[in-house]
Amino acid sequence: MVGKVFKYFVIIFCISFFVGADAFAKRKKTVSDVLRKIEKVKIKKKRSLLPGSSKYLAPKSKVNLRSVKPPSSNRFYYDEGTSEQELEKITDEQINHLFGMTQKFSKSRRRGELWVRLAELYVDKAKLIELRLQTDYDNKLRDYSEGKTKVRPRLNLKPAEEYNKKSITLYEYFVRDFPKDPKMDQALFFLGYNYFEIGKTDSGRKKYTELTKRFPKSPYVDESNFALGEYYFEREKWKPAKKHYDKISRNKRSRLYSFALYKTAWCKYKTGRTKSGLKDLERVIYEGRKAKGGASGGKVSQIRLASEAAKDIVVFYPEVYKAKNARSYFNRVLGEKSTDKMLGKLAFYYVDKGNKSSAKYIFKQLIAADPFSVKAYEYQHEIVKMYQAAGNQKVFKKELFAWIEDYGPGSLWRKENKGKKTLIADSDKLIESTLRNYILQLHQTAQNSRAKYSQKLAKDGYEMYFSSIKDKTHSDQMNFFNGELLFDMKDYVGAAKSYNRVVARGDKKGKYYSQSLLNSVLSLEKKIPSAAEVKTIVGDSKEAVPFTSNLKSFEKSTLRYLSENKKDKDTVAIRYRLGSLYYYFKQYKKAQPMLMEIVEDSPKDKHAEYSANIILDMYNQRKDFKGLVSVSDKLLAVPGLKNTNLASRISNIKSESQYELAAKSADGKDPLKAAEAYMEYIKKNPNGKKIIVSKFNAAVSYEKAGRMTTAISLYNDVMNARVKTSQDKDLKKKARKFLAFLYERTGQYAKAAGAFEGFAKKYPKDPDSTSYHFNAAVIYNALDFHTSSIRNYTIYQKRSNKTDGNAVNYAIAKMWDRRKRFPSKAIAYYDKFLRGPIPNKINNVEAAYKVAKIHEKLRRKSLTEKWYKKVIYRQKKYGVGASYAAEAKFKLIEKNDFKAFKSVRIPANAAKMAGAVQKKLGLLNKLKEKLKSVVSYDDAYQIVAALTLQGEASNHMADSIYKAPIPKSLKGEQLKQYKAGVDNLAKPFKEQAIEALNAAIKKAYELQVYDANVLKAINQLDKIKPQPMVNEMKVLKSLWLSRAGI
Amino acid sequence: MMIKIILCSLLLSLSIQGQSKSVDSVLYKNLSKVMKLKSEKDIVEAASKILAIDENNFKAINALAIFYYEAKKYNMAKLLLERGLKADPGNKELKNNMALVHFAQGDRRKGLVALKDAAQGGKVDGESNLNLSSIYVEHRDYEKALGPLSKIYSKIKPKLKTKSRAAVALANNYAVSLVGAKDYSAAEKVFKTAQEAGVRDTNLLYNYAVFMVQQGKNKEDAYKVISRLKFLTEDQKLLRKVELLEKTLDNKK
Repeated sequence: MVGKVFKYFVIIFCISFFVGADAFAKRKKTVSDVLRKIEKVKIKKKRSLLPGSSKYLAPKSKVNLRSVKPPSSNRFYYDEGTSEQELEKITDEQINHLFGMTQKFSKSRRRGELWVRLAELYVDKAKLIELRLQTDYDNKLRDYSEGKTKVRPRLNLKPAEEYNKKSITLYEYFVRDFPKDPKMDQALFFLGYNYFEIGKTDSGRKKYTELTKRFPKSPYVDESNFALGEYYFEREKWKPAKKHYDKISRNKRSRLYSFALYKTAWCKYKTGRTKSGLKDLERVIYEGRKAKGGASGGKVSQIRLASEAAKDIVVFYPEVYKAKNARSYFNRVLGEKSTDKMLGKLAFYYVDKGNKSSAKYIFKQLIAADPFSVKAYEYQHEIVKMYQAAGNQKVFKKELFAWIEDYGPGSLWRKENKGKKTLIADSDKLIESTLRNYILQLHQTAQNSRAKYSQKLAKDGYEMYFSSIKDKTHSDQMNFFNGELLFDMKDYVGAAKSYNRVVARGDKKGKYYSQSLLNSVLSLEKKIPSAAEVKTIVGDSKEAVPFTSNLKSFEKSTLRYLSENKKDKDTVAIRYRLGSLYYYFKQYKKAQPMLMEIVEDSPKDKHAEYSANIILDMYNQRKDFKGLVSVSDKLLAVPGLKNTNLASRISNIKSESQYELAAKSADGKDPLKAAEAYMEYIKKNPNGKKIIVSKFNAAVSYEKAGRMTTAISLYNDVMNARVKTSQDKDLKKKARKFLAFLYERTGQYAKAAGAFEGFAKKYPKDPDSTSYHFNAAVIYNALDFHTSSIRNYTIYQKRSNKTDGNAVNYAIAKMWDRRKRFPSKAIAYYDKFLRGPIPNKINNVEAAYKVAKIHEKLRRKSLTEKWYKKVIYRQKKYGVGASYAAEAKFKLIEKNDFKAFKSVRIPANAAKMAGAVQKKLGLLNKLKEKLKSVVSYDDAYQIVAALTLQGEASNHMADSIYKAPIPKSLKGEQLKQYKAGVDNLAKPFKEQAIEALNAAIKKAYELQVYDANVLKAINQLDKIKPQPMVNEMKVLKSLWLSRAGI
Repeated sequence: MMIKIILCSLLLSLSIQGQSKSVDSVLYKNLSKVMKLKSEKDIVEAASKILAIDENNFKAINALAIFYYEAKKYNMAKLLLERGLKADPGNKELKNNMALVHFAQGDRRKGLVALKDAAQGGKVDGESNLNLSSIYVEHRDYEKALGPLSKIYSKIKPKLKTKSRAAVALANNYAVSLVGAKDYSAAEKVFKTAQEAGVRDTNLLYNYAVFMVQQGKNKEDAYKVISRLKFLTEDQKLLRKVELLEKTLDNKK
C-alpha cells in the first residue's frame, strides 16, 4: 500500500482510520498510535483489613492499685464454704417461728426477749439479702463492664432495708418498753447498726455513741466501734475510721481484733504508712495461723481473714520491699509452701502495676525454679504479653523468640512435656497465635505508618513465622497478609509468590483464596513493562515476541484466575490486560480469541471497545484488510453490539478496510482493475466515509484506464457531493480541476472552458486559477465566444505581470481583427499592445503590420503608409519580420512610386511629349531601383511581387508610348516614320515587361510561391502574349478537406 | 504562454495515455452519422465518446476540426488539428486540413507549406496532392502539376462514373494542364473519358468545348458537347460564352 494507512478512532479514535487515495491519502494516526493511550487494568487492589486488628489495645497503662480496697467486711462474717442460701432458708424459718411467737405472746412480760431475738433474725436476714443483692449487683456490673450487657446495673438494697426497718421497730419497742433490760446495750447497738443500714447515719451514730457512753464495758462497744470504723472506712475517711478500729485492736481478745487490725492495715496503707500496715497484715496472718491451729470453730472468720490478708500482702509488699527479696520474705511470712504461689501473684501484681522489670524478675525466678513446668511456659508467655502490651518491641521480640525457642517445637520443655498432648497443642496454638498476632500488629503499624522501618519489622516477622510455625492452619492468612505487606513494599514478585502459596494450597472456599488469586495477578501486573519498555523489547519485530519471565508469571497467574473467574467483575479488565499484552508482543494468535471473548461476553464494557480496536489493529498492522473485513463482520455479529457506537465505528472500519482493499488493488498496474475495486467499495458502502475519495480514485483509475466518460461522471459526482472534511473538500476541488482537463481531452471544449472558468471563479486564490482563466479565454476565443473570451482574458490580464498582460491585448486585438466589423477596437488593442512591454519581437512587427492592413482596407492612405513605415522601422530595429517589412516596402512603392509613375501621361503636344516620356522613364527607373530594396529582404513572395510590378510598369511604359496621341500634323511617310519611331521606343519596354513577368512566374514556380502576384503576372503576360485556349479554360480551384474515414 | 498551458494538459494526457486504444466501430459509425447532421452538440458528444477511450484518436479530432472548419470557426479547427498533430506529427490528413485552415485564415504562406508537407510522401490520391495540384494548375505550373495529376488521375479515373467532385475536378485540371503543356491528344482523351463517364460538370464540359473548338477535328463532336453544355447550364454568363464558342465553331471551316 502506498500512502494508504488505516487511520481511525481518532477516531474516533477519532478512531478515523485510513485515508487513501492514490495521490492524496496521507498517513495519519494508526490504531497502534491510539492504543498507546490504552490504560492499564484499573482494578484497584483491595486493602484487606488485618484480622483482629481491633483487638490490639494500646499498651496497658499502669493500674492505680492504691485505689484498691479490701472486700466488704460482711464477707468475713461467714465462714469459707458457707452456703448463703442455706443460711437464708434457716433464717427465714426461724423468723417465721419467732414472728408467730411474738404474735402469740404480744402481751407477755417476756415479749421483749422475743422481740430482740426476732430483731436479730431480721438483721441476719437483711445481711443475707444484702449479700445476695450485692453479689448479684457485682456480677451484673462485671457483665456491664465487659460489655455483656448494655444496661448499667443499679444496686437496690430496699429488700434488705425492709428487714432492717423491721428490726429497728422491734428494737425501738424494746428500748421503749424495757429500758432497764440487760440487753439494752445489744438493742442500742442493733438500732445503731440498722439505722446505718437504712441510711439514717446520724440516728445510727447517736445510738452507737449512746451505747459506748451508757455501757462502756458492753461487748457491743467493740461492735459499735467497728461499725463506726466501717462507716468511715466506707466513706474513705481513713483517720476517723482508724481511730475506731484502733479502739478494738488494742484488745487482742476482742472478737473483732483481727478484723480491726486488718482494716487498720488498710487505713495505714491508704494514708501512706504501708510498711506499718504490712506489719498489721503479717499480724492478721499470724492470728489466722493461730486460729487455724486451734480447735475453735469460731475462729473460722479469722482464718479466712488471714488468707485475705495473705493475698493483700502482694499489694503492700511492692511498696515496702524490692522484688529480689520477695522469695525470702514470703518464705518467712507465709511459709515455703505458699511462696511460689504468692510470688506468682506478686509477679502478676507487678504486671498490673506496670513494673515490668520486677515482674520479669519474679517470673524468671519462678521459671528457673521449675523450668519444665507448665507454669514456666505460662510465665514466659506473661513476660511476652507484658512487653507486647508495653510496646517495648526490642525486649518483647527477644522474649517472644525466647518463648518460641524454649517452648516451641524441638525445645527441651516440649520433650519433657510430650505426654501432655493437650498442653503441647495449646502451647503451639498459643505460640502461633501470639506470633501471628504480633506480626499482624506489626503489619498494622506498618500499614498505619507506612514507615519503611515498620514494614521491615513486619516483613521479618512474617519470615520468622514461616520458618518457625509448621502448623498450616493460618498459613493462608499469613501468606495472604505477607503478600499484602510485600505489595505495599512494592516487592510485587515476592507478593505474588506469597499469594500464590495461598492459591497453591487450593482452599477454594477459604477466606483468602479468591483474593489471593486476584492479588497475584495484580502484583505481577505491576511488573509488566511500560509501553516504552515493550517497544524496546519488541522493537520492529513483525513476528511474535516471547514474554519475559515476569510476564510469563503474569500470564500463568492470569490464566489461572480467568479459568476460575469467568464472570467476575474484574475478569474483563484482567482478560483485556493479558490480551493487550499478547497484542503488544505480537502474539496475535493468543490475543485474538482472548479479546474476542471480551467483546462477546461483555459488549457494553469499555474494554470491549478497546479489545475490538486491538483486534482490528492486529489485522491492520499486518495490512490484512481482507481479514479486517472478516473480523469486522464477526464483531458486528455480536448481539450486544447492535446499535452501539462501537458497532457504528466497526462498520466504519469495515468500510475503511474495504476501501483499503480497493486501494490495495489500485496499487497494481492495471488501472481498470483498480477502478473496479473502488467501484466495488462504492457499491458496498454507498454511505461510507470514503465514498468521496473512492469515487475520486475510481475516476482517476478510469481516467488512467482510458474510460474517461466514466471518469467524468465520477468526477461530476465528487464535484456535486456535499462534503464536510477538508480532504473531501480538497478532492472536490481537484475533481473540478480534473474535469476541466477531461472535458478538454475528450473534445468537449465548451464544457472545458466552462469548467476552467468555473474552477477559477470558485477558487480564485488557487495558484492555477489565473492560468485557468487564460485557458478558458483561449478556448472561448477558438469557439468564437468572444465576450466570454474577453471576460476571462481580462481577469487573467489583471492578475498577470505586465508582459503577460500585454500579450492579452494582442490576443484580443486579433480577435477583433478577425471579426472585421470592429476595426477600430482591433486597432486600439494592437496599439495598446505596442505601447506595452512586448513579449517577443516578431509580434511587435506583426502587430504594426496588422494595423497597417486594417487601415489599408479602410482606405486610410496616410495611416496605411504611416503604419507600413512603422513595420519597416520596427523590422529594421528588431531584425525580425522580413516578410512583413518586404510587403510593407512593396506596398509603399506600389502606392506611391508606381502610382506616380502611372499618373504621368504622355501629351499629344509634340513639344511636351518628349519631356513627359523622359519624366515617366525617370520614374520607371526610380521604381525599379526601389523594387530592388524589396527584393533585398529576400522574401520569395515579395520578390515575385516586385518582379510582377516591374513587368507591369514596363508594360505600362510601353503601352503609354504606344498610346500616346499622334500629332495631327503628321501625314503619310512622316506618320509612318513616327510610328516606327514609337515602336522602336516602346518595344524595349514591352520586351522588358515580358522578361520581368516571365521572371516573376519562373521565380514563383521556383520558390513555390502561388499567390495573387503570380496570377497577376500570368494575366499581364496573357495580355501581352495571349494563349486563347488556356486562358479560356477554367481550373477547378476547390480545396478538399481530408475526411479520413468519416 | 497561451499555448503552453493548453499543451501542458495535452502533454499530461499524452504521458498518461501511452498507446492508442481500440475504439468500437459503432462509435465511428455514430460519428459519421452525426457529422451529416451538422449539429455541434451531437458531433461533440459522439467525438467525445471516442476521445474518452482514445484521446488522441485522429478521426474524432479530425471530425471535430472539420465541423469547426465548416462552421468557419477556424481557430477551433486549428486548435484541434494542432492537438492531433501533436499526437501524430506525420499525419497527412491533419496537415492537409491544417493547410486549409491556414488558407481560410488568409495565411497562404503557412497553408502552402502545410499542404506541401502533407503531400510529401503521402498517398498519391490523397486530398493534399489533389489540392496542391489544383493550385499548381491554377497558377499554370503545369510542369509540377502533371506529375502528380497523371498519377492521381489513373487512380481516380474509375471514380468519374460516380461523379465524384474530386475526381471530376482532378480530371478537369489534369486536362487543362495537358492543354497548357500542349499535349492535346492526351488532353482530349481525358476530356473524352470524363464525358463518356457522364460527367455533368459544366466547367469541365466548357473546357472540353473550348478544346474541341480550338483543337478538335470533329465538329460534330464539338457541337454535341456544346449542345450538352447549353442544356446543363443555367449560368447566363457561361451560356453567353458557350454561344460565342458555337459561333466560332460555326465559322470554322
